Amino acid sequence: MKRGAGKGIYMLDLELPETEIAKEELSMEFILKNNWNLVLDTLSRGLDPWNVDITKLASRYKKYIQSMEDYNLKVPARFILVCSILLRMKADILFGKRVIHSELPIEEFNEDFFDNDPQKEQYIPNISFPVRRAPVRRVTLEDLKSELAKAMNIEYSRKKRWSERKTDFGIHLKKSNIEEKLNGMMEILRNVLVGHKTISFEELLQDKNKKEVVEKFVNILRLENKDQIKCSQKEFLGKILIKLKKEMQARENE
Amino acid sequence: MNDKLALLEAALFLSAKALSVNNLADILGFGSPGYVQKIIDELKEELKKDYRGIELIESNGKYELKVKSSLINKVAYLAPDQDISSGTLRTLSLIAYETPVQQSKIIEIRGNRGYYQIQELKERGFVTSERKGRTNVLSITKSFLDYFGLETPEEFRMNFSADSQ
Repeated sequence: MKRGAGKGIYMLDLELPETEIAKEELSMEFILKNNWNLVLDTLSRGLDPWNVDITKLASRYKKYIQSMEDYNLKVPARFILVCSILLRMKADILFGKRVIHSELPIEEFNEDFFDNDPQKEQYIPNISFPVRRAPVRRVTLEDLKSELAKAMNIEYSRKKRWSERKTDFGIHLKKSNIEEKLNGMMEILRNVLVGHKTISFEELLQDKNKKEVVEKFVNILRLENKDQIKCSQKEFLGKILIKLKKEMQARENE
Repeated sequence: MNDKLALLEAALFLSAKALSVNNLADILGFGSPGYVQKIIDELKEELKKDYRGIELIESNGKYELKVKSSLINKVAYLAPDQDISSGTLRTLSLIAYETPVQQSKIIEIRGNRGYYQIQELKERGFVTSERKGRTNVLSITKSFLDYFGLETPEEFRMNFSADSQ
């Protein structure tokens, strides 16, 4: 153990042999492939890790940079910056500021450090945090009315948007009176069924086009639904026979 | 007794949310909720005096300190953050305007978030719900009227309609 410059300052000074660092280890390729930690690790090989001698490290780094210049390699700016920082630290130690060491080595620090020693206790500042309440105020009637106004505006806008969305698809259907059609069909059936019990659906058709078939068939179904006629079909896809309901027929005969 | 009153006031002042009698009993170190209620009533009476700017209000069995309604408009700008979020307040305003109103109608206007907001309003004691058929019917409570200094629900509607014109 070496006694340092100030009273009570002790520094561990490990006498480690100066380790040669091969040029290949600090080549540009090495630097580019690996991170800073590895570079510094290599540069500080042989130095006491608990007390890295900045002057030695700076000298090594300076030599390394100079060797790179000898190879005529383009020296990246950050390497030079690091070198300058290390040299600055070296200058501070040698000519100006002194590094202040703690009174006790770190490994001997323990909780009893401040026991029964008011002088040491004053190092610990008394910090007290003010207890504050997050200011949150009650809602006023004006706030409530303001939100209601906003809600109504949004609702009005929404309804307006929905009504404007209705688009005209271009299909215009003729308006027709279903009752009139059914009455017309019923009249035809009465006329045709005079003296006949039944009539087939095909006999009701004139043009026999698709439109007529669909229209008359729908009317027949409606009339059957209204219980005014009765339809029957003896076989699947066979003839559809239509006859008036018994009660109606009796009324007709009267 | 005075120190218990001071402790109660400190707890209510600092708490970010309303405290129940049981919470306060734990803070004051009392086993009996009845004794806690006595201190709460004493604080309430003390705060009713004209020279006090805050009051103790109760909603849904919980207590909190609030600035008096008559003074809030003059000092509201000092604390821009409200104790009810604007979304929940909007839902509350719709319920108050339409009360009593079907929950489905409120949800139709406010969307699915309305469910959580209605739940929050129920927990605060501003809204009650009653099952009717397949939906709930929401109504405002007396706590709501007391909070906003209203006498009847119609007063809010008339107040709003008058401002809109």
